[in-house]
Amino acid sequence: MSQPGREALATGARDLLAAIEAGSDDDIRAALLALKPAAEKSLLVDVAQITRGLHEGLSRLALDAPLAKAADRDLPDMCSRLEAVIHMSEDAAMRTLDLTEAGKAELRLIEAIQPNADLVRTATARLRGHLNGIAEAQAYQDLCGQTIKKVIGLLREVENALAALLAHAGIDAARVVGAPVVDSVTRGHGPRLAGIDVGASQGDADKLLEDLGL
Amino acid sequence: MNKSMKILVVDDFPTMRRIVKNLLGDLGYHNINEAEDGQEALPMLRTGQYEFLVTDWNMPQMSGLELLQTIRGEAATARLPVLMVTAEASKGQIVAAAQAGVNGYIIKPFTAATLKEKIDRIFERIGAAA
Repeated sequence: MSQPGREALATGARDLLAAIEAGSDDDIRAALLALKPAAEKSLLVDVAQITRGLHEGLSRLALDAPLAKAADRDLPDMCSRLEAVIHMSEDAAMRTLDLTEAGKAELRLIEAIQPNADLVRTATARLRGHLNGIAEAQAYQDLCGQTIKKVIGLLREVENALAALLAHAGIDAARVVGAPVVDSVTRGHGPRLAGIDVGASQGDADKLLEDLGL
Repeated sequence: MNKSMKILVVDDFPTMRRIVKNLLGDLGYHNINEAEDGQEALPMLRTGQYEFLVTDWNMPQMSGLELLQTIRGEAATARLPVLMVTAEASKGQIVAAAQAGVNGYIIKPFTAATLKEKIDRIFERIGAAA
C-alpha cells in the first residue's frame, strides 16, 4: 500500500479508536464513515498499481500482443476448427453406416434369389461380416469426438483466463490484435472449413482458371 | 430371450447410437428407441415400458452413472437390466457402476461378439434368478 494511503488510514483508525474509547455513538458512526473512503481509496490505488505492473510486465516481456492474439483470435478459431472436425467425422461415419446398410440390403436380395447355393451363402455371410466390421469401426468417431470435446473445453478455459488477465492489465485485446493479416500464399493452410473460412469451390476455381485462359 | 423386448439406447453421439442399434438389429432386436443423455432417457424409462437399457457413461446434462443411480432408486425401474457401453475404463469407475447396480459393462470400442456375449449373460442370470 502507498505511504499516503497508509497515513490516511492510520489517521482514520486513530480517530475511530478515540471515538470508541471516549466519544458518543454519533462520534463512532462519524469516525467509521470517515474511515471508509480512505480504506476504499487505498485499495483502489493497490488495484491500479497491480494493473499498471501487469500491463508493464506483459509489455516488457513482449507478451501482450501474442497473448491478445491468442485470446481474441487464435483460440476461438482453433475451437471452431475442432468442432468442425467432430462434424466432419460424424458426417463421414454416418455416410459409411448408410453404405454398409445399403450393402446388407443387397446381400439379402442376392440370398433371396439364390437361397440354396452354398457358394453364394458362404460369400454373402463373409461379406456381411466385413460390412459389420466396417460399421463397428465407425466407433472411432465417438471416441475421437469425446477426446476432442475435452480439448475444446480446456482451450475455452485458457481463452477465458487469458481474456481475464488482459482485462486486468487494461489491455484491449481486439485493438492490440487489429485487422486480420492476409495469409501468405506460399504456405499451405490445410482444409477450408465451412462456416469458418472463405474458400473457393471447385466451380469458382474452374471459372477463375477459365478466365485465365486455362 | 424375448427378441421383441423394448430397448432404450442412450448415447450423446448419434454415430454410436446407430452402431449399437444396428448391432442389436443383427441380433434380432428391433424394438429400439434412442435418447441423447440421461435427462432425456429418464422420463422415457419412468413410463415403465422398457425392458432393457443400453447406456453410455460420459454424456452432458445427466451421465449414465447418474441415470443408473436414479433409476435404481425408483420402484418402476429398480430392476431394469442395464448394460453400460462406455469409453470410461478406470477400475474405480467400473466398481462404481457395479455398486450402482449395473448388469453388464462394455468398454468402447467393442465388437458385435462382445455385445452378444454380454446381453446373453445378463439375461441368463436374470433367468436363473427368476
